[in-house]
Amino acid sequence: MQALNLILAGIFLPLFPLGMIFNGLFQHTRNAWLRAALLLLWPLPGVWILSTMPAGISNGFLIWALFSAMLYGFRAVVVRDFGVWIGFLATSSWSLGWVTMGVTAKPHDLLLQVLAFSLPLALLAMLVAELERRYESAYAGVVSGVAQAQPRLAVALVVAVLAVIGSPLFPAFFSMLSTVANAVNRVPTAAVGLITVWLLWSWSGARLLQEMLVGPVAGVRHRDISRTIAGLYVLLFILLVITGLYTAEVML
Amino acid sequence: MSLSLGMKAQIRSMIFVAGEPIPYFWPMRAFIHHNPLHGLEQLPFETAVAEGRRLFHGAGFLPRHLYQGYYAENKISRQALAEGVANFVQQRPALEGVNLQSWLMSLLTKLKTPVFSSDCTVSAHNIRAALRGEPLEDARDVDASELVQQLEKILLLDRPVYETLDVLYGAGIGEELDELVIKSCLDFFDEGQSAWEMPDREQGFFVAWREVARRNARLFLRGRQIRETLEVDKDPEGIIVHVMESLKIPQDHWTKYFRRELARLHGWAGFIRWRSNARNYHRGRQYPGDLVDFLAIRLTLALALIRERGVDALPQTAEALEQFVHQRPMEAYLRHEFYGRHILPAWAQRVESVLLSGNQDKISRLCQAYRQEKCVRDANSLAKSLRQLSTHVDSGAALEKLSNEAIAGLIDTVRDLEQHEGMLWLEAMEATSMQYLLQGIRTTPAEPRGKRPFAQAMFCIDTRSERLRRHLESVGDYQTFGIAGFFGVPVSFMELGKGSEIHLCPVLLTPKNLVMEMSVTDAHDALALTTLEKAMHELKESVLTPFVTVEAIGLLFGLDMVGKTLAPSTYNRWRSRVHHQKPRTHLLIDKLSREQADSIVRAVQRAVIAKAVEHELEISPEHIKDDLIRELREAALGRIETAPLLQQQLKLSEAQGADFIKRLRDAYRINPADARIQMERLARIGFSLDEQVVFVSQALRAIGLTENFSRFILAVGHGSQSENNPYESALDCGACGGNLGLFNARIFANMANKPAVRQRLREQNIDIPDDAWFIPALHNTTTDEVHLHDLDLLPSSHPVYIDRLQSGLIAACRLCAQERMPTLDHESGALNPADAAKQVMRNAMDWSQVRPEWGLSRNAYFIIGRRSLTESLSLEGRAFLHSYDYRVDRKHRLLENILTGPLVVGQWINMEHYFSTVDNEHYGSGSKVYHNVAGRFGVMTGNLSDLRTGLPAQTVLSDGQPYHEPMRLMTVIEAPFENVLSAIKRVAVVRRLLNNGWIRVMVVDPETRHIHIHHKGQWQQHTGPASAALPADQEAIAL
Repeated sequence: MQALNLILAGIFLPLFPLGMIFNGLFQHTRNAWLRAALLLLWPLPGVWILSTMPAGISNGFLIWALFSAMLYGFRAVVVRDFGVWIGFLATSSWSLGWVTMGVTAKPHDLLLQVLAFSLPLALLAMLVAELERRYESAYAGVVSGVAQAQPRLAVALVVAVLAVIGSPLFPAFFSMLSTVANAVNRVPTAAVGLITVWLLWSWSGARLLQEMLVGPVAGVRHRDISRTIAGLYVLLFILLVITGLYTAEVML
Repeated sequence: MSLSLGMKAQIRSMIFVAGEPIPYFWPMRAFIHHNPLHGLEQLPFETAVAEGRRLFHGAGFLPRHLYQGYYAENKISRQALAEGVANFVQQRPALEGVNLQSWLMSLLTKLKTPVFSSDCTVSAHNIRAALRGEPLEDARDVDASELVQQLEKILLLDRPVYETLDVLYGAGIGEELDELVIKSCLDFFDEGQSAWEMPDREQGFFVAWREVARRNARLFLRGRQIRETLEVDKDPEGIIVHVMESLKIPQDHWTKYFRRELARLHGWAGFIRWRSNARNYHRGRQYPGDLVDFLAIRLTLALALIRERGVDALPQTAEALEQFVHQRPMEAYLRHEFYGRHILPAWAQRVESVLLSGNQDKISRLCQAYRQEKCVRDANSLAKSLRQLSTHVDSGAALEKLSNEAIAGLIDTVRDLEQHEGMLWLEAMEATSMQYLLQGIRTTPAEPRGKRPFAQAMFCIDTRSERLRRHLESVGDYQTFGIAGFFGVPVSFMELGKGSEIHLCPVLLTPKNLVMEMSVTDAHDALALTTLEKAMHELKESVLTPFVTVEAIGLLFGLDMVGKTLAPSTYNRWRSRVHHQKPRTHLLIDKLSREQADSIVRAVQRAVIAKAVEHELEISPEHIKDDLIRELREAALGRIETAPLLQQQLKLSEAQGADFIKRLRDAYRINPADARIQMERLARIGFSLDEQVVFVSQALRAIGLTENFSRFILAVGHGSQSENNPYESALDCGACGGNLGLFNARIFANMANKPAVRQRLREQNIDIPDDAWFIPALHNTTTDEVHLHDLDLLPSSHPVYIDRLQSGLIAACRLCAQERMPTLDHESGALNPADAAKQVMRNAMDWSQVRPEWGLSRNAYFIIGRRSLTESLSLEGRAFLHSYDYRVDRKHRLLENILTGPLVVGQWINMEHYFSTVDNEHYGSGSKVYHNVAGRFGVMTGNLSDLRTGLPAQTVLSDGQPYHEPMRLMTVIEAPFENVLSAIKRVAVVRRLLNNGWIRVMVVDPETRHIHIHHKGQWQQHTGPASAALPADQEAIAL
């Protein structure tokens, strides 16, 4: 039974190679709302399983989880499709749930951490859908010059990516900070791995944005997102920051 | 490997030919306007533009929607456009049921974007099916040979191997190669911007680079390949041959291949090409480098990068690439679509995955499906455009009934028109502008003046003079003339305090005479502030000191910044007051006699010897006697054997004395050979009386000013004033080699005021009365102020009239500013003249101002004739005005001179503006905001890019839209038609420009009052100024 639980947890808080299930499903889901729902709901069974497991997380799983996070993070560096990138970022960040449980053993922290990543990822998925609606795809390089053509959408994308890769004030930042701080005390070498993963996310995000936002503008001009929608996103980002501050309060 | 001399010469000649289309790039200290397609002027305009697109990727015409904007504003008349379309339709077969004229006019004027994309290959059958909503013919069966042919055209031929690898494999070699080459160029060609210089530069570009490349850490990573290549030969030609053979490029393609390589960084290549041909360029002689060196470096690096990427089993030679295309055309096609960024966005992810899998079956299937999808999309898009078009011509229903043949014919016609529409729009726009000009031109000669005007003024032909001339004429009794701003006096000039000569004449000329500026005030020490500034700059530019400088005195720079930003006018006025002012100067204009030159050399030698004794022997000046100096000089020049006074007065031994004399010869250059060189240099100073007479007479005759001289004749040079502007020189006088026009004005006025010159002019029937005085002046084109110079030389009878003259100039300046200001600041509204003058003054002093003035933007016309021709017409600063009176030019030599010099320079300026406007990214230099000065001679975008050629966006665009209206220079010549024909026949360069359509020419014949227009290789007679611009009567006169 425990083995089955572990496998299920490995699917929902993906460990390599089980992350391919989520990534495959995510790539085949074209509807933005479904994608957002998937990003919000998928890790929750994993959180529940890990939270209810009587035994702690062994070092072996901790290494495996770190390895998975690094692998998916590295994969995210080379992909150029925004949708695929979201999938890899999700699998990479969720797999760190194992590390969080390993170093803190606090189910509440695990739930917060998963949400800290899922929320901005879901938001980003909605923005990527806006891109796909305009350009047929969100493939960096093929789509370029968004900053010039749709400045509001571009700003929203940048902020969302910053939230996803754990920039200060967003929940993912405080969550990562807490995990790294705990890892320094418990398994110092894991902290190095965590920081490497964090770096990979930033690298991949910056690379993707660079190719998509600057460069030649498409011949056919598409509309930018409306001011109302942009305002809504601003509101959501403010909520994310507030969530971030709450995460800091609870986890640090 | 050692190449034969013949082979080396062959490589050099191939590179010479390959470099011909690459336009020169002059250092920006003296910005030279030039045609970016100058090297293609032997081709007709439209063909050259197409070749320019192939080589430099630049567009030759504006996009359609901008022409439609001009059309809506009546800057392109419907009649002119319709005539162009009608001519086009005449050459096409008629299509049943289709009114082509109506369809094509609607296409041009109603559809915002072209119907065809560049790679659209949909069949007529499929378009018809799409129009009727029927299923399309299956395009899955890919004809491999057709695909190969298509790919060969895009990927192979003369395309550099790495470029093909980049578009097939996303190898990114080109970008990295450019970066490495640019860094090498920056290192070698630096003119004092870097604190640390590249070593061994005296040995030439390639040799110096080779030495550094062997030790360069970044290149060390791929050092094996670079070292191997560099060891093949020590000469650049040998390296080039080795690389070309390694890449397996057939030898008959080498020239084209080299051309493509050079065109990739055409800014750098243009600079190197100019530099290696500029014989008088000091830096070029000191650190030689040419295109052969440049190509050797580029090809060495390219080969190393290709080999490095080749580790991933990529084809590494042209031959291997050709094989790949032939064997796997579908993969090549998909790769080109994907890595060349032509892919349909929705397919990008799928195509990438399949290409990465390498499975040929999957690739084939995907390729077929992709082509089918593309075909469907293209057909639907075309059908949509055609339907949209048909609604504009009210034949929507007819469209669907058209036969396959008619559809095919219509598609062909539309495609053909879209390929040539730029030329149609351009010609229509020019015809409309010509119409406007012809309506305003006065063909009847002006009444002769009863009395001489209060003042006459000779202005530069520059378009910015037109406004000032018009306003000056309107405020009083002034007569103005236009002449090339160097006043016909090509001169090399050495300014006071500058160590090098500048050429004050068009770049087409090489001056023989040198004029020096000499101070006529007492010498005094530099002000403390100037010295402090110099010290601060040195601290800033050193390698280590900036770290300390910022901490220690950074605040001072901050204060400067606050002053310049918040109160530019007040702060800069204050700064100019505390700065050391340039002293009053005279110019050495007259030729020196041999005795004078000898005396100068002697005086200089004496001064040098005195300093040498003072420094080397530590003797104070009061102990250095004249007889000792004389003796040392004689000894150094080898005229006497010993120097007894040296031993007696300075107590030196014989050996010490001999050593000192040797040192005088070697280190201080007191020897016969250097004395001869100094004499030769002195011989260049000044003009002989004959030369002065010729220059003054020629200038006055060229503008028709041979009688009725006023009391004041102003020779007005021009220059601009701006802060923090690397392009300042572009706003100065092009006829003076991109420098201030003041010095030429001073030289000319000085010559014309000389009694001996006037005496000789009288013998040539140019009688300048004794009370006529030439005054040099400077027209500041940014502020429109005119400052008079050399007033201290004014005869005593004249100062009483100066106030009136100054008042007239101030009034004209303010009116000019009032006219210009709304074009610079749309929000300024209607300003009174005084406020407008204040505003333009602020522009000149504001260091954040990216557009201090519009410069020559909107230039369109070149008018050669008497002022009366356009006197009544406001040309809005758009015309070069060259005064010319055919009555004083019986042999048409003056006209030939105007065509050879000023007109050609005008055409360069015009074409520079044209191409910078139609494609600012490729032919212009993009936004100034991102510019960084490179090596003190050019600018780059960001921290590393090709040298940006052409004009910045702020000079030709306003809010991203063209401010300059891009048209070819429309030249009006007022002279008998036969005279013009004979002059053009004799000036080969103008004949070529005219026949190839680089300029438009109209002749206003004052004798017959007929107007002749050159259009498409033929002269057409225009019967009257108010009628249509392109008349029917044609005269087949071949030039």
